[in-house]
Amino acid sequence: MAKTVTVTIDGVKVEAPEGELMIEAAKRIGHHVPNFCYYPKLEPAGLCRMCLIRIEGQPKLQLGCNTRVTDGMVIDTISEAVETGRRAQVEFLLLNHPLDCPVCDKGGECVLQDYAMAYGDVASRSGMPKMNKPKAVDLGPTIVLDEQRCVLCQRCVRFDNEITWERNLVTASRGVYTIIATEGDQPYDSYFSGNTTELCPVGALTSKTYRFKARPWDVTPTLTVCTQCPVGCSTFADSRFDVLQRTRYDHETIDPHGDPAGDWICDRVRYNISYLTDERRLNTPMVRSGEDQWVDLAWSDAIDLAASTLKDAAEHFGPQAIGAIGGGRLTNQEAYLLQHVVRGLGSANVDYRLHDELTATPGRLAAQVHDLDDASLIIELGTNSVELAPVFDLRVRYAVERRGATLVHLGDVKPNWPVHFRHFPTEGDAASMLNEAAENVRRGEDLPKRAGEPPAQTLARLLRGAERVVVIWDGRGASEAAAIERLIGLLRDADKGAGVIVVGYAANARGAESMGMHPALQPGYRPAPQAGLDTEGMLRASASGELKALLIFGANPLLAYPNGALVRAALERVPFIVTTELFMTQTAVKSHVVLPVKAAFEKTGSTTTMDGEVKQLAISCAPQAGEPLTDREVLALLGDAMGLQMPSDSELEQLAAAAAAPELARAFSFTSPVLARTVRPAATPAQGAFTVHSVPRLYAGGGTSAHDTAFEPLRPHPTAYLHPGDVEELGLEDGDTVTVRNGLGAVDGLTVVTSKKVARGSIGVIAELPEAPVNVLADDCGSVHADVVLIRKGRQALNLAGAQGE
Amino acid sequence: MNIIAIFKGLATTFGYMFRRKATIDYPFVKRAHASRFHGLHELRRYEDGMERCIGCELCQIACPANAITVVGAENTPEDRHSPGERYAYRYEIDELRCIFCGMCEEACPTDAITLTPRFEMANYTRSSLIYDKSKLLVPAEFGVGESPLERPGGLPADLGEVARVKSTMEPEKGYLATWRGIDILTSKGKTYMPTPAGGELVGEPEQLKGGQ
Amino acid sequence: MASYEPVLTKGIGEADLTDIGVYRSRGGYEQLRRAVREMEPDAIVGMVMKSNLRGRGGAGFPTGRKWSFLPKDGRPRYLVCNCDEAEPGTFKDRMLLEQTPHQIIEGIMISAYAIKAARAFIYIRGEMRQGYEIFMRALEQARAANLVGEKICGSDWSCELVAHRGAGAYICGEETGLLNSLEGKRGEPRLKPPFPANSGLYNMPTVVNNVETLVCVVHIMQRGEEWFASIGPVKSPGPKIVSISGHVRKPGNYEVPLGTPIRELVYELAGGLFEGRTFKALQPGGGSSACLFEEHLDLPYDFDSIAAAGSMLGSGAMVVMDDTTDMLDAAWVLQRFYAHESCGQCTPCREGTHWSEAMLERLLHGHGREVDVSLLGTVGDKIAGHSLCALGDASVPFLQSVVKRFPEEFLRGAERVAAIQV
Repeated sequence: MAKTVTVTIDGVKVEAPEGELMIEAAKRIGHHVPNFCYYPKLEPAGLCRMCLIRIEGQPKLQLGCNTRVTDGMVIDTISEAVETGRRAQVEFLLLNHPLDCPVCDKGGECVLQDYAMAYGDVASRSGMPKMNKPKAVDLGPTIVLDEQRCVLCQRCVRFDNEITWERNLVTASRGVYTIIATEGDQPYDSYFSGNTTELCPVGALTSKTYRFKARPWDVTPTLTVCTQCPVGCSTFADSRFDVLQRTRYDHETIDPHGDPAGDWICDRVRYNISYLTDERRLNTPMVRSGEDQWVDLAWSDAIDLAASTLKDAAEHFGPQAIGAIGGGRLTNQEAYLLQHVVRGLGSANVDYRLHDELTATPGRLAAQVHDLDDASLIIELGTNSVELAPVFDLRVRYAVERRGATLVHLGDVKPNWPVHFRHFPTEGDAASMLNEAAENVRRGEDLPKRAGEPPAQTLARLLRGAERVVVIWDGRGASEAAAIERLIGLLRDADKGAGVIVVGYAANARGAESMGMHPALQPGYRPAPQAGLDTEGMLRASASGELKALLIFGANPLLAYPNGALVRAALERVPFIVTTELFMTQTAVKSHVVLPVKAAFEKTGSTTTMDGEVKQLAISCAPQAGEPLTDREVLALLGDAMGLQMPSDSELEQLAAAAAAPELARAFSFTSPVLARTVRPAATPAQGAFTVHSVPRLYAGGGTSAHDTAFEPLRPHPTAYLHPGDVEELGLEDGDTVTVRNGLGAVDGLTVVTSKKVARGSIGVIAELPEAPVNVLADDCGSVHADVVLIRKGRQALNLAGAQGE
Repeated sequence: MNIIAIFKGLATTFGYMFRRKATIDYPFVKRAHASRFHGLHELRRYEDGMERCIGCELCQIACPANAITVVGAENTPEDRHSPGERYAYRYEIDELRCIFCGMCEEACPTDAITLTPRFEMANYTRSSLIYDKSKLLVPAEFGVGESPLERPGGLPADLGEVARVKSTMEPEKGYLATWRGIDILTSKGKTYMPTPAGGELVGEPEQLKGGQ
Repeated sequence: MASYEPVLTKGIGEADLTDIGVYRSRGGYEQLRRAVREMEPDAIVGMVMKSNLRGRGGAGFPTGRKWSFLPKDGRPRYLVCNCDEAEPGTFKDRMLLEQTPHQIIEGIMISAYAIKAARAFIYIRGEMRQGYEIFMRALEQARAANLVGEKICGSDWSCELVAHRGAGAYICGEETGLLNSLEGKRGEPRLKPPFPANSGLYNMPTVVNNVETLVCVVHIMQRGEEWFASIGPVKSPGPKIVSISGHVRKPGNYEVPLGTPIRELVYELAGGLFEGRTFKALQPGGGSSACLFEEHLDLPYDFDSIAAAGSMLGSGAMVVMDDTTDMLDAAWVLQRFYAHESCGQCTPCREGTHWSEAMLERLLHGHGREVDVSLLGTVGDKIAGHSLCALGDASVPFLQSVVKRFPEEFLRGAERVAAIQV
């Protein structure tokens, strides 16, 4: 901790850490120094000149946002001189401000309004017409910019330079004609664009989805948690008439002195919210009759039907004929109940894992997310945090650009990082590269650096030079698990900081695992006496007809599971499938009873973030049509109807809290032999000229993002990324439409995008798009081969917003 | 004695018999109001037919009775309602809640919402007294509505002097159409929109005698 | 005065100093050779410190002190020579660049050696195309003669000199704006602190000096710091090139010792005013300086005396205005310049310069209001001392000084309106 100094602010003696900014020191006695451009998480810029303060002994007024306290300083933040200075700035700012507060989305929470009241004059003295800058500038798919309202504090520009490092936003032109613009007039395409609307102290940057929907005083804020990815960001959900109007992040409340890299929210939670009121949302239980005839049911009938059929199945075919998949999207309580119901029937066939992963809990090898700040080497394998954990990725970017950490990605498709990183292609075998590097480190040889050396050797050199190593992993692959364990053990033995962060595929994957939604683990990571079937096992048992009833709660395996052929076969074969869903997803269509449930914003419960923190959901809005129940209610009804011993609400809270205890997670080891998985028969992969890689995209998915009209423009277009060499060889061009096919299936309607991010002979296809599901090409979870067939030449008038980002 | 007292009393009674009646033949005769009487609301237009209301919700927040609900939306070139970027997609006043204080009128930055002197809005259901845009907005064919700023200001000197006006209502012709709870009446074969006073002025205003 | 023999501009007009042979034959590059071979860098810093040389770019900061601020933490240091001469009325650096480029190179290299710079840069204004070409030829010659680059003059010291052309923005003459521009960013001043001495070019300790300052260093080396300190007043000694322009018979660059009376500069060197004109005002230090009037003509031309009179010596550009000058017009021209050149980062400069310009334009066209004239002064007060860099401050003094002195000329714009309305 830094040395403390004593300063006198407005006559009050204040203890403050040496070097603290005065604007922060003044907060200690509750004095607010007005400012536009200053923001605690950004570097001081000194542009608005609003935070003028007087320091005794200095002739000129100084900036509160860029002057640091030293011992014995005497500071005035409230005095006539200071106020005169501030009045001048407000008068200047209002010279060309349109004062259209009544129609401005910021009106009511705008600092310029506040300061105009505090420091502004009643009438203008300028006597000149206002600048006629453009209004309602379409900055990109998410943001509208009003140049007239802009006070040019450049918070947005600085955010884009200092926090995301994407450098989309710039200032253009000069003097009073200065405007905010995008680099090269490209659309402002960022996963974090929504944050700029919150950073904007005035109403210059507004969200397209929230434009003119409500005024700040209309909405009721609720602090809840985003459940779109495993990061689990705390989010304010603002509702009006019980309809969610916007989500936002409030630094003042949630994180007043937060560190710059953490705690922003991404555009998925900000702009993918109108699915809640989408007319395609399910609002009544349904049962399938015939091929695709659906009959509405009352809740009581639906529960009776499901309960009696499940009981019958358990009685006739034995409990092992029942299984449950899902839980990654549910709350901890719901995940607990799901496994409780299935285990209550005598089966252990429960699994939350939909991407063939091994684990979501780093256990005793864990690194915490904030460990990235001190990391000197960050190795990412398997996952792609840019797409799968965007806000977490900001911390990675910060560690690299600000703290000088080295970032390495092991994998086949180069990620879209805007920061410096090294990419080591692994050809699907990251484990052996890690092992080789670890072996090299263990031997302690320091081979001279030379051009063209194998990546493992470079990696070994980086490892040797690193003090603290953080591995980011998606939790897939037993050999990767072993390699990571070995490497971290080796580094820890050498007294280096080392740990792994697992970025799960589902928002509450870690919570579901801790709640026992795992065939080999009971709640609290206790090994189960008798392991059940995992997802692969259940699917195989289904396909062979052994599994008779399947509960799919909050999951869409048909789109998500890598082995698409197996899921299709399994879902065709199982005689009874109960699904809880918000929408008629690909999986729901194949099931027999579909139960409408509430979304995360509409229910309470707890969720476990990838960092192991348990956060509480809160009800911020209500379903607008029908009568969906929460999964928790559904499971409670089902359990009761089957005569199972169900925990009461308070018992459930206690059980879930106990199972989510952090010490249990810390004791867990993901290489423990009890986690052994179903042995897969060797598949004969379909032949093809290209290796197909699934490219994750934040906005992909078959549920909330596919059923949201307002979000539609942001969704990625089905895209095939091809190396320029291959594009030339195949005689293709950017924008051509191709089909990728092999013996198992075909993915149609893919637009060709030339990208050096994929290797020669590889093709990257965006994963989990319902209109182009890439998993139809696979009948195993390993590598996939397919051919590329040209369908149509020429670029179409497509919205390539999602396909870009190169 | 007693008889005298009785006649004294009856004299008062009979005296009133020959005085002018204090009651009027409402609704066939209506009384004029103070120029700034706070009655039913009206949403005004511009000369070009555009709505004045920009959906800013300032009336909603100014309303002490929470009677107003406004939801804004964005104008598009194809669907333009008001001159700026924003218009009131939904504008509702619960006239049962309204206390006719006129704060909405004062808060309005575009002089869109005004209180007219109209007051006849009795109806049979509560829901019919939640006035939405279709009832509040001046139909384009009836002009722009009267600006509150154009009304004579202050307390009129002749407040005590209440004019008798004869309504143009002809019961046998019935209602022609209804908008915002005020009947549009037919008179002499042409559609007639009630004046702010609610009818046609017949004769000079006169001082009502007694009973007031 | 007559006894003063020019040193900085010596030989200009007599010989082709752009040729290295000619320059060397007149003793050129001797000081660089002596410095890198015989002297310790700190000794040179000491000499400059003792000479009391003050920066010739405008701010007049003591050069030796600027050099001594560099932190000794082993980070690479950079020397940047500011040749982005854009101050209205100034044209001394252009002459030095076009006439004696080798003198500049020598000054840069000596100074780079003195501060142990890892690399030296010169930022040349975009419009000085001819000067740039001449300088590049000279640089090639110097490099060929082992005066720039590896192991200079046979010593162990190496330093590269990089020339960079600007794109013509006044704000890039501001030292941090210049550094941003040099880094390839938008030419916008940076927030200070941190100062360039600590975190300048590429976040490394950096010294930014004017061309003339660095040329002076050559002569301090040659003739000794005592000689330099003996010229002119004690606190701001040395020769100074004054660019005299405006309503004088012989406008041009004149090298004088600091402390020469202004009257002598205007009436003797520059040949005085035109026939039948009378003196009205002059700007002693470029467009950013407040006007001096009749009563100031006998002031000595040096940093402190001019500052005491409420103006500043700045870059040494004297703009003389006679009685035919319409001050409203002059103020508008200058204010338009500042409004146009404001980078737009900070509020007071961005909005204030534009506001003043708009008011002046209105007055000029006879649409003004009487209150505008007093507002011109008030707006200036609101800008001065509040802006991010010196540009905002620079836009104020001239306007305020002339509005104060000649209010009637400004009120005229307002009166015209009144007359029209009647």
